[in-house]
Amino acid sequence: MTNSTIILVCIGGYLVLLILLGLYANKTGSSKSLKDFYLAGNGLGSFVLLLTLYATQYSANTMLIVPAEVRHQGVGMILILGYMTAVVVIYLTFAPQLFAVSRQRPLITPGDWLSYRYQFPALTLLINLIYGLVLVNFLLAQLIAAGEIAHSITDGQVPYWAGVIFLALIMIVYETLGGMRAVAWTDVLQGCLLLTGLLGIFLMVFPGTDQLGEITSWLIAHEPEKVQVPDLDFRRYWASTVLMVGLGAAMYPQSIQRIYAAKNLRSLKRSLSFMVFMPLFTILILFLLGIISIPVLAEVEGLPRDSVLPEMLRRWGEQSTFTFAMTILVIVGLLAAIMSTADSVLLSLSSILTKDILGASVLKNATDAQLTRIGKWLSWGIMLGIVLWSLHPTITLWGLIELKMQLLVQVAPAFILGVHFPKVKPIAIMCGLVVGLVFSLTTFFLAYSTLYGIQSGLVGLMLNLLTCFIGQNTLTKRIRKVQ
Amino acid sequence: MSQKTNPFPHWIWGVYGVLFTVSIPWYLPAKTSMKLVLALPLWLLCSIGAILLTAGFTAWVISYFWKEY
Repeated sequence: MTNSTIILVCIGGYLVLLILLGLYANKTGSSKSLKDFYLAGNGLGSFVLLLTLYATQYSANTMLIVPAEVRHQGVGMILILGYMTAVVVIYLTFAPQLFAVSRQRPLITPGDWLSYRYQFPALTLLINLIYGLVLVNFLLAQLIAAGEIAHSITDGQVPYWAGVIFLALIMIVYETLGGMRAVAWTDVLQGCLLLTGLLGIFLMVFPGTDQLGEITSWLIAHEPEKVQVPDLDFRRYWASTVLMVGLGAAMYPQSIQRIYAAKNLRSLKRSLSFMVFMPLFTILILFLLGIISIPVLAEVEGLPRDSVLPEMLRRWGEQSTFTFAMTILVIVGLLAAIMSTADSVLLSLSSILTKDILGASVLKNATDAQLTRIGKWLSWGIMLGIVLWSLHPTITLWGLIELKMQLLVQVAPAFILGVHFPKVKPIAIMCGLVVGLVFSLTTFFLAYSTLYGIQSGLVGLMLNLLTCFIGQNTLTKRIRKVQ
Repeated sequence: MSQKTNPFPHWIWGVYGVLFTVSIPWYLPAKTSMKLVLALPLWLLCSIGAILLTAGFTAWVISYFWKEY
């Protein structure tokens, strides 16, 4: 049996397990109402909640980008550890309030909270459109990664298109079977595999201080710019990226829905308390791998930017039976990272389209059960569209991440100001959002991802807040005049 | 709504501000020669240390201040 055949058999076993979990979720819980299908009936305990948050947040992007960016930009990319930690800190600014409301009202989507807080349909619609764009983008990135990984780890036995289609099919099947319950349970399996895979990397690559010293000396001699204290321009980029991605990633609808889905406050608190330490384990191992890859891949030319991890795995896998076994663990962990993120994104996208867009317009009179059934069909439609798109990828993963964060961060004031300032008017939030959005999209399409080293999405957020402040003051003065 | 459901005191955001500032090596001139500790640049270890403190502080804040209401 060849190495790639063994890898294929292991992946096959993992995929069968996912379908079985989907079937089990279908048998044990109801998925006929929106609350059951999209939030697992608000019944996720600490352990499941932690692993579903973890598996959802740490995607293939994380696994592939960290070593790739460390190799290309140097150890300054420790900034990724900063923003993954910042995401949990940002949750503290709005999660307590959202969770409290979710116990008093039937919240399914982020749009439900926005409607409750602002009662301004145009604002809810605009934010849902942003979410739609971002989630499609995110799902696309996961499917592209799935196809590339399936192709590279099987030495081309599985073509890119077959990897995309087959993995997408597995995801949609278990998701239709059990909704959020199936997604959360498969996330537990996937989260465990991801952690085991990372442990596999750690065991394979962990260098002693002597070996690390040799690598650092090599870097100082050959590529000093990758270990030196970063210049002022990079430090501005660092600070603004941590703020932009920290704020943006906390706004992901699939994460907000997991706040609603918590069984009780204790479960939510416990899972967030553990979640804040997860970057230290996850990112640091991938970071170390990135440092090691710099001298190892120094002579390699023409390697695609995001292929550092697959290339290192291929090299390690050939060294011994132990490293080959560890490589299989990492590969399955990598697939788990992709699928756990993609299924959550798909579920969230389907819930927004079904409940907030169709349920608020053409299907206003539909029952809960009818909407749930339509949501399941919509998931199939969305997946089909994204699969067709992902067969012609044209952008690197880092490019996709930067675009979606520039848009997502503009949503932050609606939630954070909304929970802390009861007097903030929806029209002020709306004006700020439009200004921030126009600015971010313009700078993205003009290829100005940074301005003087500062992420342009963050500059957009400043303009967003300024507009909101001016709008709020103008409105308040007018109201006083009228009174 | 904010008074009733905002469980965290304002000063914690000051602590986060300090930790965030320390996590980026503003305090060193660019491209200076590096001091190595455990075979890694000291500035890098300081950044990781600040993030570790942020994580620990967050876990404490969640456990100490976030109560049922």
